Amino acid sequence: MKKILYIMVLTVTLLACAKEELNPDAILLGMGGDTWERTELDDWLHHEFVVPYNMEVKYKWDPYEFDLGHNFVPVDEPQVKILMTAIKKIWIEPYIEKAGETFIKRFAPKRYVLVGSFQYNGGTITRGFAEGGNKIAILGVNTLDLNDKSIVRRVLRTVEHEFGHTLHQTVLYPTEWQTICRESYTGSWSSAPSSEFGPAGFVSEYARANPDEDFVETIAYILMYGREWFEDYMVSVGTDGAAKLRAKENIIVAYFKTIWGIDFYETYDGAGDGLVELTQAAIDRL
Amino acid sequence: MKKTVYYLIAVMLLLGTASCDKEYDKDQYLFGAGPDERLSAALAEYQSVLCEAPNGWFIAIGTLDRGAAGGAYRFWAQFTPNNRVVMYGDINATTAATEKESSYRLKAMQLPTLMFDSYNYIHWPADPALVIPGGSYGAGLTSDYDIHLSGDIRGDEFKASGRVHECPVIFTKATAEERQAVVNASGLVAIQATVEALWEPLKYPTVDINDFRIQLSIGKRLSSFSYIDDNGAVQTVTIPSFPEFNNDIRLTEPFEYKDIWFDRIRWNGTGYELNIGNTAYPVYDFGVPFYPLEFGVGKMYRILTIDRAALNTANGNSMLDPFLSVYTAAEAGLHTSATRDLDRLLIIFELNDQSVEQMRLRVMYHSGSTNYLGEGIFKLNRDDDGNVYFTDFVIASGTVGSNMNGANTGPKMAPNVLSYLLYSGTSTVGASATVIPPSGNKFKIDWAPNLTPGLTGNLGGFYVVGNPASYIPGTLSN
Repeated sequence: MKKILYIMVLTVTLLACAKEELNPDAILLGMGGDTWERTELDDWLHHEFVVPYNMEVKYKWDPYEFDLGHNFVPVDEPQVKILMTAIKKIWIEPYIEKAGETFIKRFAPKRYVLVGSFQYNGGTITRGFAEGGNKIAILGVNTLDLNDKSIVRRVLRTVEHEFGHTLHQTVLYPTEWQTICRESYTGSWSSAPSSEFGPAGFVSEYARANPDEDFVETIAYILMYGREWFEDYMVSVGTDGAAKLRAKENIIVAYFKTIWGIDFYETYDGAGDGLVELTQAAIDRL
Repeated sequence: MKKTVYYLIAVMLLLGTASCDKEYDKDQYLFGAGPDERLSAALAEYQSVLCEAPNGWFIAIGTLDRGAAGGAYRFWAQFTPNNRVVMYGDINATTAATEKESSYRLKAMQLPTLMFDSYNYIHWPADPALVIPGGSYGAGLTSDYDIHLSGDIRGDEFKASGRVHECPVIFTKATAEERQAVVNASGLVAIQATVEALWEPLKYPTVDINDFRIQLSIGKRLSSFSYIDDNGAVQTVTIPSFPEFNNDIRLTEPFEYKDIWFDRIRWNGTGYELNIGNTAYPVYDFGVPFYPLEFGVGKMYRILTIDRAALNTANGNSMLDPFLSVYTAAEAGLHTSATRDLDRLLIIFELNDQSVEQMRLRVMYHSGSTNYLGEGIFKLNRDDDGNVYFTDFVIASGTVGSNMNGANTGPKMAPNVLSYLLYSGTSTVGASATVIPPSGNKFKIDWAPNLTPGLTGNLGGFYVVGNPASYIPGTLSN
């Protein structure tokens, strides 16, 4: 009897605790993201990137998008339109011309996150990074100056670099790529003498980091500086480096053609300019 | 035992039934609303407070960098409810004259946070690309632009702090006149110049708070306060500061020592004063630093630079007779060649090869566009009273014939300077064997008054013992 009494009392007590109700009208702050009144710039971005490509451009400062251990400053608003116009003309439009709108809609990162300054790592600078093919962060947006093509190329190189990652993360390049410079990859690429990377068959210091970075750096450099530059560069680095770079170039051209149906260079079968020539023409027109 | 069980049952039943209230009730929260609801209300209130200041806000931020470019940066900002803000900044003449628009938002982070989320002047001190020269690459001047707001912000002034570096931030409501000054007359930099002119005549601004003496050094963005602590050591505290439009100097953080506390140096219309408790303590010019001058190897200073052109100007002279005549004679002695001019003398205390302290006299002059220096060494002696005296002058080896432009140049140039400095024994100098008679002067080293408008830095003096009107003045360095 006593036992039953205990059980009853306990049941009452425990059930009583379960009867609180949630207030359905309670505001959960920050759910759904931050909000602010749209400006002309917001409308422009919506019209130019969200509607056609479902691409969000996040230019308002959000510390959680970046490495919390570094100092940044936000984007200067007029720079946003300058950068995104350059991205559209130099990166998106050549791809659309060679691979069609669906290609860009399918593979383009869904979120561009911008910040005004670079990330300074004590010796190196981070100009951009990609996360899972979804987000591309462009750093140093405040430094972009359309009158200085070298800066335009440097900033857009980051865009091409990060998009290159999306491509090889979707379909990997041939494993043969990894064998061309196998012995020259190094985690301490930033402290290696800068005279080394060219003769070793790389387009940049950072390309030495690993085969993935090498692949996207090579694509980005050829797209940004053009085929003529690449030929000159191969001459400048000596026979051994040139042979390796030529082998890499062949893999890239074949990869673009067979995997994505894109002519990387101009062909003479009537298809006209390749991706590289279209990109170069867009930079010149800017 | 049974009793205990019944008591327990009774208590549990009471608890059980008491918690049976099924209605959603605002009273369930100690403060009348849920945390999210309260946070949301706080953000809305903060935004309306910011937007409803008709003449905008001044925002002053003290950087963590306390170097030459660091200190307090001040901005004027007008917020509008559509997340826009226009700003002026006191960084330079352009930022003070050119309005810039950007965006802001209030966000619930660990604390309600005002974020200036697109670039404006307020970001310059924090810019890692060193938009403001100075600071360090990758950090700028180490400043904040996400600002934690908490507490009561409804007054005309409230304090806040940066989210990342916890930089001190002061918000002050602007008046209509102040807004006019900022928008139409580059007020943020104009006030810096106005206040600088008010401090300029005070070479060594000093305040005596009863028997506690503080010496001030007021800059455009940083103010320093020196005092002697209980152990007799000189302490200097540097605090970011900025001028307000009533000419007050406002500190971003208070000066605190024992029971003395202040965060403002008030302009009373004729002078500056510190208000502590109900008493106003005036700022006056002490004439020299108030703490003892330490001069020698390993001390605060060891070099005295005697440059007549710098010390004596059309507006005031720090080099006076009788030493002025000695110096003038040295100039004339050197001037036997029309193109030769004395630039400056340096008295340098240093260690010789045997680690014994000695005095080096360096004479710097030019002939045409070529610079020369002649040097001589004195034996350095100190008496029981701490006075110094110099004996046994010799031309420093290696300088005769080359830098001194001939062995006779040293005595020609400054025989009377050498004589003034020499305590005892005659020295024979140069090929013509000029005999330098000793003056017998001993010197007390102490601060010298800075009587030259525009000349900054501490001045020291070598005072002739027994005749303090006779002294060698110069700027001090190490």
